[in-house]
Amino acid sequence: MQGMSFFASNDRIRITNAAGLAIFDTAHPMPHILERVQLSNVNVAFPTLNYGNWVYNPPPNIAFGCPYQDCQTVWVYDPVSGTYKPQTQCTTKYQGEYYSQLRMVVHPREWESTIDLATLSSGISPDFLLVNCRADRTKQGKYTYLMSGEFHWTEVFETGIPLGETFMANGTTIFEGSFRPGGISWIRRSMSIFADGPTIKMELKHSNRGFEVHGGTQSACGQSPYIPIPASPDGESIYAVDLDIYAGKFT
Amino acid sequence: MAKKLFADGVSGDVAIFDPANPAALSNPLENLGSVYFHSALSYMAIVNVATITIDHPERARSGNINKYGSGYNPTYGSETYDLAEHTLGYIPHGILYTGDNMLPSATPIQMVGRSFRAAVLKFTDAKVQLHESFYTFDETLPPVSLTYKALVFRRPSEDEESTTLFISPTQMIASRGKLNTDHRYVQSHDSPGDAPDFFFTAAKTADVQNGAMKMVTANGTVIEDPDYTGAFDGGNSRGCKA
Repeated sequence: MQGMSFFASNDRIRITNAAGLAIFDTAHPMPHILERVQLSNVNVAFPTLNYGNWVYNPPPNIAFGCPYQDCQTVWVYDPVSGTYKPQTQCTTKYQGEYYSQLRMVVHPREWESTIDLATLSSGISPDFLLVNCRADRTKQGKYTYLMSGEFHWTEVFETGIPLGETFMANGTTIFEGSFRPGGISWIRRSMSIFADGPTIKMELKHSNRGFEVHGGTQSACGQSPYIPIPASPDGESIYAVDLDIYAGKFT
Repeated sequence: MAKKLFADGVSGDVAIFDPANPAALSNPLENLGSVYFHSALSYMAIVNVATITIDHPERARSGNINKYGSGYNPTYGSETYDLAEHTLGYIPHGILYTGDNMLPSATPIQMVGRSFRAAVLKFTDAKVQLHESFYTFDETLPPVSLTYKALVFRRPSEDEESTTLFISPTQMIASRGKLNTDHRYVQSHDSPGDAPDFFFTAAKTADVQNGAMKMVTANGTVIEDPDYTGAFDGGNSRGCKA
């Protein structure tokens, strides 16, 4: 069996294990850990979508007929009395339910927020971070992609991270994305854990492209075609994350 | 530059440092440029280097045309694969890489058209696992075999031994176990000509802009949505070997 070796010269110390692997070599110093930072229940909240107002385009029009009596008063000559007397005359006409086409713009939005998580007590700027994260989602964002009557067709923002489990989160983690037909990315949300001097920071970013949502409403005969439209889901997603961070330094 | 090995049997201090700067012995944090090893510093040993090939199955696109009539319904799903087991009894830290490309969480590992699958390294107190999430649009993701390396780190060593310096034909222990030839440690390999196995960084590794993302992994690999309009170029990183 090959033994451990300890090699020392004036300018180098090198130690190998029994398998011949270099365990320590002054030519390749070992990075060390400056400090461990543990944080619980950090709020990771991605913002709402910036919806415009629903607009009727084109203006409401009559689509489906339903009858009504169109009555008016006419003056008819009475030969007996020799005078004109009022008389109501009605005709059946057809007025429709209103079917209205609607459009709404989801405005593009670029948003970011950076907070300080911790400042290392040594005051030394780390060269690397090893980050473990556990995330619980307390609100799943969703948005309207189509609207009919009072019903909003919605989609949720899916996440590729394993919720409720501990995962590696070094650098930047893409938390959420959503895609237009064919897979065109229209929204991305990210969390970055990084060092700025001796301070460990968390940056949240949200980016969405704009698009147009289409919809339609129907209102019965006699009602206003401009019926109230329920609000769209706001798109906000919220996570509570636990972070376990090792801040390290090369020598 | 000369190197000096110093061991104090009373205090238990062990250091390897540049003797031209004796302050490196008494105050290593203020003299890191002259320190090669010091018992006052915490080092992360590597518990396991797991190399495993995962056979990711086909992820078929939907058979239904989407609501817009301009493609197929998106599909979304996820699956977990075991990479390795450990006996640490706690949830460790680690990194995941393919080749020398260290993968931040949710890095796309296969893209066909706009369809893609992404990987996240996750841990339990007994297992190291890969979490795959996939999205398909108009293209099916064919099966793919990918080889991963996962490095699992032991927490910075507490005192494991009572020995200041122990050298036998098969083992060397210094600083009460902080340096132990039975363990493996991360070593800096960042000089010209070095071929690092992986990279450490304290910087951001991705950006989002215009509803799209750009990822620059620690070794400089770029993964970018076609619609990204930002100017992210990645951050500094340092090469390492295990």
